[in-house]
Amino acid sequence: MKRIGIDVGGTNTDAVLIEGGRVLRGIKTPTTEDVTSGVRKALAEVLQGDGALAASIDAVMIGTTHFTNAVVQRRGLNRVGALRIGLPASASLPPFVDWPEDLAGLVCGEVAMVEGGHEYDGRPIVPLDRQAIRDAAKRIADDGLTAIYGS
Amino acid sequence: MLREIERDELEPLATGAWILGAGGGGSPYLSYLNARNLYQQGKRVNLMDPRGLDDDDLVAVVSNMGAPLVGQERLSDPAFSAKPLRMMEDYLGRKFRAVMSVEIGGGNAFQSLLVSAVTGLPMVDADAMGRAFPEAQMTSFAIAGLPMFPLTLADIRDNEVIVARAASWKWMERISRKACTEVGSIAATCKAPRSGREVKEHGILDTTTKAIRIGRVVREARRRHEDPVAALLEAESGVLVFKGKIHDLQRRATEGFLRGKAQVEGLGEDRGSTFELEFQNEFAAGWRDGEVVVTTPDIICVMDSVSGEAIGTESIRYGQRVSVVALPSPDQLLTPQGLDHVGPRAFGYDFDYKTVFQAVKA
Repeated sequence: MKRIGIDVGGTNTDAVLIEGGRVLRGIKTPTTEDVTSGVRKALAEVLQGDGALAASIDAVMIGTTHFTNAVVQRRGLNRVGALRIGLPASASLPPFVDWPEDLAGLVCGEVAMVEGGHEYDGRPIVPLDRQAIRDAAKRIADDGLTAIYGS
Repeated sequence: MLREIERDELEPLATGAWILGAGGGGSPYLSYLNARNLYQQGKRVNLMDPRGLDDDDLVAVVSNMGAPLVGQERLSDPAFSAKPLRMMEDYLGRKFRAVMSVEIGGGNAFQSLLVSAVTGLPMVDADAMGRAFPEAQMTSFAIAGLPMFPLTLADIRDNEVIVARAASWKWMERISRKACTEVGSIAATCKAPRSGREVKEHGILDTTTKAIRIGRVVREARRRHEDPVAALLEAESGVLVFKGKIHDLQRRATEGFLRGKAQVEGLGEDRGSTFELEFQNEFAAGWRDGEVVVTTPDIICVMDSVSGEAIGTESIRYGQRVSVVALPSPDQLLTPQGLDHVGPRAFGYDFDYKTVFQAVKA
């Protein structure tokens, strides 16, 4: 089994190619502001343009504290939209309700709650309101959001 | 005989109510969030000393009925909590003077508070369990043989149910449970209305105050980096039954009950011993090295040994370091009739009440 492990640190992004328990290759490249391009570069370097090798990789693991750092430092966070399907249940506790206020202020985009969803036993709560989802999607797009999570 | 519940009492109430839940009743967290929201909107709740009720005052007994696990994903909403109370007023043609919760343990500690915030009625400082129990006949009112009907029930849609009569508390439990299951295993209810006199004579009094007190003791000890479990034991005459690590767990959801077993491997002074807990929503009995040492209605709590936070039967998991603690049962549950309703035999065991407290009141 061939795997690539990538560790995104504060300064460097390290990548290793592992087969079984053996490290076949290891490289180091500077961590970039956006994280992703540094990860891409590390991947490209560890693979050395070998298409056959790339195709034989079973898994890529990426470890980074960037998410935790972003939350702790309140930096580099993206706004996301939230869509919850489940009305008329749960209306009084909308998405983000128990987030710290400053963090919610940075992350919370358009929040939509629409009718639908299911009981624990699989029966629908009420019929799914497809039009409300279309409307919510439009509002979320108009808000300029590129990410959305289902609540 | 009224005092306003302060904003900073809501969190201690949640902490204390979760401890009094004996593992059941559902985490009060979501109800606490609802209460916090209502307070942010400017709503306030007045807590009423039950001794201030007139004998013929009418008191609404409210509860959020259903399976705690379902309540974790279908979140309680105060807008629906007050519906059954209004239904009951319409049905009886009488107005309520105040509202109380059926159980202080778990999320229902907040049910009367939420209804109170929405309706403006005062909330009585009392309940009918002094802890949490799963069924309608497991209340001090049932033990006292008071009437069990009518009952009103509403769901989040436009479904409303009135149980006009029932032949017994167990029949009331069966009929209302069926209706509750049908609407998704979560429903707001208003139980048989009580007179002020019935509340004073047969309610378990001052339990909201008690829950807030317990929550404060635990949170204060935590803040000072002291042992919150020891602080609780001292403040409430509790007994540390066992200390250890969860090393085996079986849990299954059946017919609205969360049943199972948890095994605790001893640490510290209990090293070398094993403690087994059985639960039916709440912790029902505990065995030390195979011998039963504590049973319901003693309030058996499993607490995180470090934070002193209660651990529910739905959230207990392998590897947790826990303190098994017993708090004294309310006296009303320890009479022969009380034990008939809530003692170990009521949960299907073939042994009698066992307590870790010296003075057995039964």
